[in-house]
Amino acid sequence: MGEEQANDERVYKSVGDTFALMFRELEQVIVGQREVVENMIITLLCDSHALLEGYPGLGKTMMVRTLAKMMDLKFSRIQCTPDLMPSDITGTYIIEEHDGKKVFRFEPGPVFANILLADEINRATPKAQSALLEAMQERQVTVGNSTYLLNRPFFVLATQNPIEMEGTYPLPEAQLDRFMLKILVRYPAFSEEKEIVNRYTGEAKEEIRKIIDKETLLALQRLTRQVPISEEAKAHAISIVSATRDKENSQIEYGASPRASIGLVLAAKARALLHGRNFVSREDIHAMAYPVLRHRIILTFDAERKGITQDEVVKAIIENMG
Amino acid sequence: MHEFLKRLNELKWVLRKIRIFEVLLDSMLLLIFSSLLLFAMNLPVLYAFAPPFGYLLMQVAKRRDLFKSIESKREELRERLECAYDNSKKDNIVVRSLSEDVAALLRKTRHSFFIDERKIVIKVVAMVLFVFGFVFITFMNIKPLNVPDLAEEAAKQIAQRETTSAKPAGGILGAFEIGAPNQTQEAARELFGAPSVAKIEGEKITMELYLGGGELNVRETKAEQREFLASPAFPAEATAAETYAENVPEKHEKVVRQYFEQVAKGG
Repeated sequence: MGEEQANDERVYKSVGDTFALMFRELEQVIVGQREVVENMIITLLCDSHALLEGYPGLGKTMMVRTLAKMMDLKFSRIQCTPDLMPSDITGTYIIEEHDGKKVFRFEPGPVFANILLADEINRATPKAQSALLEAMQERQVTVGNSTYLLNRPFFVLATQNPIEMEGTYPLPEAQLDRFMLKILVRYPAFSEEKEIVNRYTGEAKEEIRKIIDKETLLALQRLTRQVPISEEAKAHAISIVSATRDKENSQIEYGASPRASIGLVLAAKARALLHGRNFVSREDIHAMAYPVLRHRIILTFDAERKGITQDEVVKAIIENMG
Repeated sequence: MHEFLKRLNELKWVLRKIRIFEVLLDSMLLLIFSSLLLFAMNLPVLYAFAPPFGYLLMQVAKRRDLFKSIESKREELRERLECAYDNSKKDNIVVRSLSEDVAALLRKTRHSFFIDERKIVIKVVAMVLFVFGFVFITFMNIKPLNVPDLAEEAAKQIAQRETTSAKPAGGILGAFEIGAPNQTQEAARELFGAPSVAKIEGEKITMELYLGGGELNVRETKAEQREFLASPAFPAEATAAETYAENVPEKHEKVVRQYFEQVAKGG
């Protein structure tokens, strides 16, 4: 415990420099998308999982792979298809022959990584989805009679394509709740796209350096939980989540659960740490309300018909709170 | 104990003292102003204690948020101070870092930050002016407005208007109704004679008049005409005579008496 505390103090003293270096290194590979990268790092700091939604070709896989390299984490990717089996995710037993004897050996699946990118999770069958979601929740997999613990840290970054939804299996709301954040990946600005073209049609390619190791990441996760929040700010966060359950709001059919309140406070703490603050401010809570709540609110048919988005509803709630 | 808590307690007492001083100053100002107003209106000055007393009670009942009071003067402490206070029982590297930052900011916070010098100067100057006003009124022997008498006068005039607007009590004498509603002043003069004129000098005139025939006009002898209340003309109306024995003219009575005397002699 003493060693852990000493390590935490050492990491905290240089936390500002650490994050600055991380962003500088990421900018070598990823152009723009600052908010997306921030939210992904916040997810890692909260030891949770995130859902990435964006059109193809926006660099989602590259962002995740770059983050994994920078943090010296084992990265694996699953391309979800309708024929994906649960054992393709968790692993399976294979028969091997040793000294004339046949034995079963467990071959771990891609889930035994530190960062798992599940591409187009909505294309996998509900059975395959549940295998992944169980791993996310329990941090372990059960194959046959044996239970295998997953590596620490363990993050799942699942992606969804907002187009080509035909023949897909949208994640049910109860499962969506397990993702702490839903991060929207948008098209880059003209200047950003120009920079992307310059970099990826030129000769030299930047190599990503390792910035932090696993122990430093675990220390950052502990420090995230230590960031203090005032009672007023906490009440404000809970009020925002409660407001989504208000029956008088004609735009929301179902609101967010208390899991959203936990997620919002934790994400706000991570954001405060990321921005070099040693306290949680209202600005952190308002900024994190959107990725925390947008996948947990179900709008009424009338609201959807009018083209109102979840983000607009969250914005109205925040403005009403003052 | 976190260092910032000691400093916070210190500031709490300073703020309390400043608040007490401001409330007492406001109460004094209110007292002097109320006294001056009541004195000018010739009302009992004792009532001047009511507004400052009410103000004192209001201020005592009002709750003040210590953190908001400090944070309003020191922007850097906004959200930090309250967060540090709420987490003062916890001990970890991040909380310690926050409490050190807050302690450093509180050390730089001088007590004079919480004193609004401009407001205090304005209030003190206002107090001096009101006291000077008092002295001036007393020294120059300026008579107060005498509001009670003015109120009494206004009440009487209102009462008078109400009674003179009622129907006059002139009744029917025999066959006549005295006064005609539309009769002109000249016609009324022919019936009732020339009006009496009386001159009354003096500032305060109290007159009691019984309602009856005629019209009362009150005029100032000075050039400037002031408003006066005129009682309405008693309706003087001449109507056809009825044939009552009391109202038969003497000539007709004589003729009728002679007739019956002759009838009595012949029969």
